Amino acid sequence: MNAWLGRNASPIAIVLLASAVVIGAWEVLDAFATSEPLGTPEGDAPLNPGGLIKVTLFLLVPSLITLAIRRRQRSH
Amino acid sequence: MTTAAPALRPRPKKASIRTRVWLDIALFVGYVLLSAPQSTGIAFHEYFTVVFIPIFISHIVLDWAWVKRVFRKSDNKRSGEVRFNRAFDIVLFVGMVVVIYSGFLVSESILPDFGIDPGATTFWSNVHDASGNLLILLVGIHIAMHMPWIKRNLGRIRPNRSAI
Repeated sequence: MNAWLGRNASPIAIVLLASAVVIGAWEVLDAFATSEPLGTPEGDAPLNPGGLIKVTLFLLVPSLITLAIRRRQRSH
Repeated sequence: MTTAAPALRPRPKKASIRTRVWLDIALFVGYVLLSAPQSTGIAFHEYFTVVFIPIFISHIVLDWAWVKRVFRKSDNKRSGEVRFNRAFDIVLFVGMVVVIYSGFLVSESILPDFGIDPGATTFWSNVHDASGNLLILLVGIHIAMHMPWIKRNLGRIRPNRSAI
């Protein structure tokens, strides 16, 4: 594990640095945005399978559209 | 006079295809579970993110050779598909960072469990919801764009198949 981290230290550092830049940019946006403290937490809601159905659909639909476009492009 | 031979820098060992495919499967399954807090619960959603982050970073790091090749400045003769993937993957990376970071800022479970009040605001809650939903669509496109690689290598997860 340590050897793997040592070998890949520079890519990991670049990924973390890029993440910090993205976070910094959003923190700047937050400073200019009007915002209020959040009200009731969502954690108390009962669990339901709707979330998994939504994710499956959200993943499947753009995937199938993209695959169809790629197939069409290749056939031309 | 003799000159010493320059020390060769050890080349990073490339991860096997099998490792990368298993990692991608873990990433996909983890992502689906993470994206459905209504089904898995807020506590799982937040604690599992801590497991998900190193898997996500490893997904990029294990494909670092591809990242370097695609982002090389001097190489402008890339196909349209590669250029699309390059731009798209930047958007995907930004989206993933934003959704994870904003998730911590609206934490209801993990940070309060450690006695930290994230001071959740409507701004970060809206950012988390919007980026989370958009990201699912983008991940769907990302998977479809890399479908040839997935199809080619999915069978290699079995140990008796040789890795390329």
